[in-house]
Parts: sequence; structure tokens; C-alpha cells
Amino acid sequence: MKLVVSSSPFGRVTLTEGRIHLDFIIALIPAILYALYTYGMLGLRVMALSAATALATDILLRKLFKRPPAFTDLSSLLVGILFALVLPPTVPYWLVIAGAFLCISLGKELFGGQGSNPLNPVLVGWAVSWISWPNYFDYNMSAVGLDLPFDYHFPLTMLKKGGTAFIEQFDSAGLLLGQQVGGIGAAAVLLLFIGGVYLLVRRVITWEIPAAYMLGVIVMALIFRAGDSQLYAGPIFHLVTGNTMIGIFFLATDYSSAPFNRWGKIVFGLGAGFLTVILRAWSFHVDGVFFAILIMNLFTPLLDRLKPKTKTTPIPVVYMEKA
Amino acid sequence: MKPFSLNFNEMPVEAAPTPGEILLPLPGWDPGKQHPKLREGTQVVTGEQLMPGVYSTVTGAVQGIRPLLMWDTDVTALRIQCEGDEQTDPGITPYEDYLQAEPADILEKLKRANLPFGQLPDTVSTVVVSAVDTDPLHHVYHQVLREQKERVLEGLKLIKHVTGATAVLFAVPEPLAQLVGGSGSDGVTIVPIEPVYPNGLPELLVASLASRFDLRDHLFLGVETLTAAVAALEDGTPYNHKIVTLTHKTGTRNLRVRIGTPLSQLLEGIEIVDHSRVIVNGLFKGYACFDLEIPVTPTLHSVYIQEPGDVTPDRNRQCMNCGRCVRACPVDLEINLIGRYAEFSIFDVCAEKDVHRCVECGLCAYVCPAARSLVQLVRLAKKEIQGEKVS
Repeated sequence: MKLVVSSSPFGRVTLTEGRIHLDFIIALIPAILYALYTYGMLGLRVMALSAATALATDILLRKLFKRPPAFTDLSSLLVGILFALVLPPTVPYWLVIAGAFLCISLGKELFGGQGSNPLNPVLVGWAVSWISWPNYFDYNMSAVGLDLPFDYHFPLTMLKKGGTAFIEQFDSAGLLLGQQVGGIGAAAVLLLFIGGVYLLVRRVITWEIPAAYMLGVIVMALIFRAGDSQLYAGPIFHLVTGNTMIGIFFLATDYSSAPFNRWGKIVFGLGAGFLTVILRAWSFHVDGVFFAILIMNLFTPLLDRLKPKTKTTPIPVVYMEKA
Repeated sequence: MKPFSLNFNEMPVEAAPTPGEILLPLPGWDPGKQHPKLREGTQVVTGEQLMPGVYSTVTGAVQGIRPLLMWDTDVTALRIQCEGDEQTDPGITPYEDYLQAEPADILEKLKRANLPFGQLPDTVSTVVVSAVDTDPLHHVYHQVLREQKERVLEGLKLIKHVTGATAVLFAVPEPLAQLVGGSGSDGVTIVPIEPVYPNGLPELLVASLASRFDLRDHLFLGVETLTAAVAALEDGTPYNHKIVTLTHKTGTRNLRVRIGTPLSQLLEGIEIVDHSRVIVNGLFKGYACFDLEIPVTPTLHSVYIQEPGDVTPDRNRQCMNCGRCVRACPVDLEINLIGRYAEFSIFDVCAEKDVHRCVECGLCAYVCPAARSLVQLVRLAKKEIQGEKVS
């Protein structure tokens, strides 16, 4: 009789990393379908290129670094899809490939792979590409020439140019349903929200970051609006435009680059929410979500210190029975 | 995260057959000393003293001693062949009324009756008695409470008398609180405990009670030895049976097993296929056996035969920082970081992160999607910090 010997515990959940990333991808399916429906082959081209590049980069770099392959955990596929969803539809193919490569290489593998990255890999790839080739990333007028049922103007650019007078043409319900230009999937605000609720229900992510992020956006938008209602838009507008929703549920909640303690997550979410509105109001960027999250990623080691005090026996147990 | 509800279905205790042979570990065995009763061929009766602190739990003939590896400890064990009709050593005389007897006498008598009690501390102000099982696979304490409620209530008075404590806290799983509800006598407080693993672990039980009661000079014991003590004092029966929950693919049973029974005899008739895991003392804090020559001891509560298909190997993938372990931890440790620091031998940071406070409940490793050996890493860190070079 051969017995298996191991250390306790002797049970494990059946959940795997692959299943967690699959859940993220399932939650993105509505947004992917929106991208296909709205942009057709253009959308498919961006998503397929990005996902394929991300996977290929993962496999190649793992070979190069002589580390065991890890693409089956689907994290690279997820990064590839997320990167595609925040790109404008007309971005050139070489830029998609370069960006997805940067996401995986600079964002993830350089630090040791999934779990070790200090910054969100999607945003690292995006930020490097955006700084290197800024002209291709402007959502405003990015869809000119395409036959679309909505305005070619990016709502946040309009807000920046002319204050609230310029955004009267957009109605919140339409924006919520994705009647706006922007990232090919990131514009599908309501569908992303549904995906986010799926992640919460599946307990893939916890409520703290999304709730605090939304609260942060609302509070800061109200403060700005109270200061100057001609110049600054209200909280609803901030929540339903640009990349806010994909940031709240899919980018800020990245396990590795966000804090893991409850209060750390709440401060992280609030900070990202505040910064999103502040960057939109005062900075040179029209959409502050990505840099807001990247900046908060840098605070993660600090926020991880907001841990609850270790609980346990203040006094050791004195047993009557001998061991 | 609510990990594991303990199951309180009734599970009647069945008597296991007397084994053909038993193994008794001999603590304090010294090969230089003469122990006349340990000679091969000596006839012994149940309850007879064999050497200081060691009592036979069967009637039969001594077969000699052998070395035995119990988990991580080398011990010397005595083999006794069970023979003939059972006779009980008359040395244990019951009391008329033990509440009138001297506490020191009672304690001596209990030790003489093979109860595994050590020396009492100088002062005991509170006694904590637990009827909350310590693992989802254990059905011992709650069944003792069901079947021997009167004895348990007697025992609470007894333990108060023996220790001279002013208060006895009786921790009962919430669903069974109405069984003893209102029957707490003077100085006995019944504390309902939420029946969720790991609430029954002594460390966590004492920690949760310490916020409401003064536990500076406390003493902790389980409800099973308490009833055994009452039985010894009332009937003169030595403590030689242990209730063991046996779980395998055909179901779960509670067995009343002779202390010393090797697992090989307890599991007779049960087919154990290759690459199974035989787990003693629970899913979360137990040990996996490498052979079945392990005897039942007073601290053994359960045996679980895990079929090869249910064996969950550690995959030890890279930590992805998902935080599930941190949320599961009952003592709020940063177990994700401790695991990583221990993995890379940075043990001083593990110490800073309070790794010694870990009660090794196993919930972190249970919920880990990367199937990391977190408990093993914690044990490694603890040993390294204590100065034992193990890696």
C-alpha cells in the first residue's frame, strides 16, 4: 500500500488562476461584442492583434528567460484584450503590436510575471506607447470616416475645450449605452458595469475598490462643480464618459498592483477617483483615468501598511491535557 | 468569507471491536532503567500501571518494545497482545461524593485512572471547557455533549472543584446551546460559539473569550476527557477508550476505540487503494500517515481516508496577490507576504509580520488559487526564526 504524505491542509478549493482570469474575460465579453458590433472588422483587427501579440510575447519571453510557460493562466490574454479595448478604432496595426508587447514585457514579465508587477501592465504598455506616439491615441475624431450612429467628438475633449456648454449635445443615457467614441470597448459603459457586477458576484473582485473609486469620482466632481458649474461637469458625466468604467472594474482592481487590505483598497479607490477628476479638470490630459490609476499603483506598498492589527491569543493557552 | 460550517448532525458512537494487539507510547522511556512489567511475557490487566505515567488499556501479555515514528517524533512503544477475559485493575476506587474529596487526591486518582492530565498551574482562576469540535471532520465533542449531557454538567462542577477556579466557561456550539441552556450551575457560564471552522481551535477560542472574560490564569480542556474523569471517579473505570470519527468514501462513523489500537487494526476491512491519503486529526490541521502503525492516542480525534481522486496536490504557483488568504485569515496576518518572504528565505521580515501568531489553521492554503504550500512556509519561517536551521 502506497500512501500519499503531505503537509496540512488536506483540502483545497478548486479555483485556479486560470479560472479567475477566465472570469475577467467572461466579464469583458459584452464589451468585446460591443466593439465588434460598433466597429466591425476594425475592432476585430485591434483585439485579435493585441491578444495574439500578448500571448506570443508571454510565450517567447518565458522561453528566453528560461522560465516555465505560464500562458495557460490566461493573464496575458486578459492583458491583451484589455489593452485592445482602450484603444481607438483607427489605431495603426504596428502600434497595437508594439503596445501589447510593451504591456507584457515592460509591464509584467520584466518583474517576474503575473503577481509581481508593481504597476498595472495594461497601463504601463499604454503609457509608454502614449508618450512615444501621442498622435495616435486621441479618441477625439478618431472614428471620422466610419459610419457611426453617434458624434465623432470625444465628450471629454469637448468638456476641456468649452466647459459644460460644449457637452449639452450628449445625453447621459446615450453615453451610458455606449453612444460615444472612445476606446473600442471602453465606451460601452453599461456593459462594462454589468461585467463588473458579474465579477463582484463571482467574488473575483471585492467591492472596496469599485465602490470607493465611484465615490471618489462623485465627491470630487461635486466639489469642482460647486466651484464653477460653467467649467466643470457633474459626477454622472464623469462616470459615463471616457475610460472611467473600465478603470473602476477592470484596471484598478488588478490584484498585483492594488492593495490587498480593506482600508488600503478603500483609500486606493478614493485616491484614484479624486485624481481622475482632478486630472480631467486641471491637467493637459482629457481623460485622467489611466494616470490616476498608475499614480495610485505607486502608493500601493504604502497603502498595504493600512493593515488591521494582528489578532490572536493575548495569552498562551494552558492545556489541562498533556500533548 | 465564511469558510467551513461545522456539521452537527447526530452521529451515534458505535463500539469498535477490541484489537488483537495495541501499541502504547512510553514517554520518558529510559533503556538504562529496569521496568519489570515491560518484560516480554508479563501478564497485565486493564488499568494496571506499567511504568510511571503509563497504564495498560487492555488485558493481555507484553510482547516487547519497538521504536515508533509518530509524525515528527521518535518514540518507544510497548506492544501488548490482547488475551483472555478482560479484567480491570482494582486500584481505582470510586468516591462516594467526589465534591467532598481533597482536590489533590482527586487529581492523583484521575492520573491513576490514565487520564492524560499534567501538573496543575499554581493558580487557576478560570477553566475553559470546550465542546466545539476543532475540525469539520471531527464529530467527537458535540456527540459527547449529546450522549453524556449529565456527565458533562457533573464534570463542570468537578473541574471547578479540582482546580479551585472561581469561574468555568463552557464553550458550546450555538446549535446545541439549548441542550445545556439554563442548566449552568454556580460559577459556570455557557458560552455559545458560532459553529464555523476555525472557531473551535483552542488558541482562537481563548482569544475570543479573553475579550469578555479574565483569562489570565486559565486552564483549557476538552469535553471528552472531562466526562472520562467523571466516569473514573463515579464508576472506577480507567480511561481506555477514545472516540474517533472515521470518514471514508462510504460515509462517516463515530467509533469508541481502545486507546493504543494501531490504525491498521482500526481500518481492518476497509480497502485503501494506492495513492490515497490517510489523514489523522482533520482536514485542516491534521497529519498524513506514511504507514498505519500509528496507535490511537487521547489526542487523536479523527481518521479520514482520502481517495486518490480527492487528493489535492500543492501546485505552488507564483503568488498573484489576490488577497484571498488575507481575507480568510482568522488572525489577520499578511499571509501572502509572509509566504513570499519565507519562500525567499527572508525570515526576519516574516518575524516582523508576526508569523509566530499564526495558529496554522490552514484556511489560507485552502483558499489559495495558486495552490501554494502556505502553512508549510509558515512552519519553515517559525522554525528558522527559532534558530533551527532547516533550509
